Amino acid sequence: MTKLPQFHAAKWDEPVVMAMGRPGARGQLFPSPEPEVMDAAGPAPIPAAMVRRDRPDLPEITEFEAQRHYLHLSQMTLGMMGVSLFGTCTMKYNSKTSEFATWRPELAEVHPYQHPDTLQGVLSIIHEFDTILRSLSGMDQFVFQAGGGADAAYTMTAVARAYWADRGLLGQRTEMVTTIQAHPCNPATAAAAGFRVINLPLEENGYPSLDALKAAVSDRTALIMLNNPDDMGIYNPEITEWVKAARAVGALCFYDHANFNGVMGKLSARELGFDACMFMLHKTFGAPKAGGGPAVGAYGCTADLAPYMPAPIVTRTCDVYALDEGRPKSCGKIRELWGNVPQVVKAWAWARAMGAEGIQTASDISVVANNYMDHRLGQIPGLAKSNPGNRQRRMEMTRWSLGPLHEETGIGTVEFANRMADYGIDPWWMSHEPWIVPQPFTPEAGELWSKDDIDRWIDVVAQIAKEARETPDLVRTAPHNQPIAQVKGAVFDDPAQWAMTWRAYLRKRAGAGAGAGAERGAA
Amino acid sequence: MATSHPSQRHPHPRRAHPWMANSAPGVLEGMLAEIGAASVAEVFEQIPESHFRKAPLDLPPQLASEMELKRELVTRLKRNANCEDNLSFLGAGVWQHHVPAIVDEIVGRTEFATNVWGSYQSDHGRNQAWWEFQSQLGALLNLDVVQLPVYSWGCAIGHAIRMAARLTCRAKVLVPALSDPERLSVIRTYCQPAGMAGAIEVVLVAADPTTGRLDLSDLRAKLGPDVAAVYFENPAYLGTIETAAADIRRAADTLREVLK
Repeated sequence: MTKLPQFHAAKWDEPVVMAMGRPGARGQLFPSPEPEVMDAAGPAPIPAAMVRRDRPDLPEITEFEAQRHYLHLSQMTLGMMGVSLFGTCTMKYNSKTSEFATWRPELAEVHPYQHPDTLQGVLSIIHEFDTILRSLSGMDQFVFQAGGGADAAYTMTAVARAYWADRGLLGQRTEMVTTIQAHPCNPATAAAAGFRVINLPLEENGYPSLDALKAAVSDRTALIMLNNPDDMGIYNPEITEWVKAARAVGALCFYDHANFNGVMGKLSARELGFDACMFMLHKTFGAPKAGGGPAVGAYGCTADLAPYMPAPIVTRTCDVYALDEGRPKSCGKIRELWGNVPQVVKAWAWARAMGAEGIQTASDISVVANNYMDHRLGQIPGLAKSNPGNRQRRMEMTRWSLGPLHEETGIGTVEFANRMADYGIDPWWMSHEPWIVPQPFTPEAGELWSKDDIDRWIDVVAQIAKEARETPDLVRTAPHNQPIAQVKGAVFDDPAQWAMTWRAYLRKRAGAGAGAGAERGAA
Repeated sequence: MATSHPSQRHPHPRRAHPWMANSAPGVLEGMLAEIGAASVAEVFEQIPESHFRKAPLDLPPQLASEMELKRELVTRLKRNANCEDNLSFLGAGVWQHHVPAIVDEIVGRTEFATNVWGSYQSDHGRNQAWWEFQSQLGALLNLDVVQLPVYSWGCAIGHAIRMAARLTCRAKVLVPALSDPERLSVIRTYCQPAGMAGAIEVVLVAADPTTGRLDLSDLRAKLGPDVAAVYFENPAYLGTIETAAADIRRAADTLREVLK
């Protein structure tokens, strides 16, 4: 066993920013407009009917106080600066070289409506990245407008609508078929796009049967949406038959490549028969999503579907790059403009730094490391692998269960996640809904973490399993070494006990007769 | 580890990659030995041999050193003309702002700027920062409930329209004719094509040609009990201030009585 980290998070114990400062203090001053501008605007540029009467109740603090407060908040954030094997999200090194490059005025201070001749640098990057993804997938065209993986799935549903409408069959092709192992955003986006969703259940092998798919698809099927391997780490070996069955009824086939890390350079969506696919640049391609984004879902498809994609598309003619907005069959915009371009630049930089050789090595490492992790986790009593009947080695992640340990000790996956933070280890990912195994957790090693990091992570899991048996209250009451104590989920059922803003917090506190003092912590 | 298995057609790198600890010599082999696998190919045993790609990867040359990568990034980006060197009045939803220096410092903090989503147990600071963001927007907007941002302005409108349609069981929305065409296209995407069961009809409200404001008589003519929501902006797309906001609100409010 490696030495377990003696860790304690920073705890600054200071008020929320809304309760800081002093009347009249300022963190930023703004220059007055020039006299010519003042004269042209007149004394009341905003009509009286629209002028705000009250002043917003914002914190009045100095520039230094703002800097110090938010630095304190960053210090109270682990943010994978321990070890994070957060499955399904694929933790990567997020290069500062590419981060800082995107802050340069040559990218941060450009406008998407500049003439393309003045944007040849960024357009060349977007175009080259398009060709990189074409090679990785076999598709003919990519677009980067989608703001995340789910938005790329939504792009697929919009493309499918335009494709079927162009054939006069939108009224007939009303169904989307997927499986419960797909990310919940796949059925959700299809439903939001107006399709009826058919969700196939899993069978003994860990994936739905080919017969179930054949029974579900028909001349009403607009498209099928699949991910493979799934979050259990199981690869559906019948995927080519699935695609054939869907194509036999004329349906479009979409490959959700969320779990691409273990098959990068190994599989081609096009060669497997798919019409379209998507990659998550904020995950597989090393761009940081910084919690909630900005992110990018790169959507790619065959030349047959390309006319229906959202515009603009970046084109190249004789080494001159341009934006093609004139696409009469396009499904329309998924978002405004070109997408989160700095993230595309970082993803391009990741792909260039890795190269074909590095990408192949990364998928090798991802799958070997996960199997090493499986091997060691299997030696900890109380842990169980999902789909124990499947004896084959898993892909880049594995869904595990704490079911036996939970039955023995009452300590489950939420308690483990709480306690991991005490060791400076980022809490694990449990599972998307529905929970197919009891007390699930889903580790993914990827290519970033060293074998020593992986060993330390497993040693912490083994230590908490030991604590669950010997000192269960220590685990049940965790975290102990973090800036706040355990978050009790039950309060979220009672709107009187939570608030999404400071003003709502003050109102609810006053309503409860508890006074509206500046309490600490986020309510 | 030489093998003809399709997962292993690529040559093995001669040097470790700075972003992959386990690319150092011998590490992969050590893990394979511990799990009792004879080769890397063996861990890919779930994938049928016929599924492995046949077309070789065709990517531009690797830039594994930071020096090469930075040179390529900077060389390319310098081909852009930027709005720091040139005066720009382009707008249409993308405006130049002064960004305080400490903002760059804070958003660049690596604890914040990684792949991590941010578990509440370990990332309290991130969660507090988000909550403070919501609180400050709540103060600016005088609203009690503020969420974290969705994908974009147009996407936020799309979500709001679909929510309004569900709340009212109505399938029509009124939108200014003088709208950003990009945003309008996003709205139409969210509203679904006509003929689908969940489609919401997008009806454009004319602008007063002299002021650019909403034509209130056209608004009232189109505002019926089948309308789920009225959307307008302030300032409007062409930079005018919609002074009749209260009148628009009152006109829409009359339809609320129809609701149960």
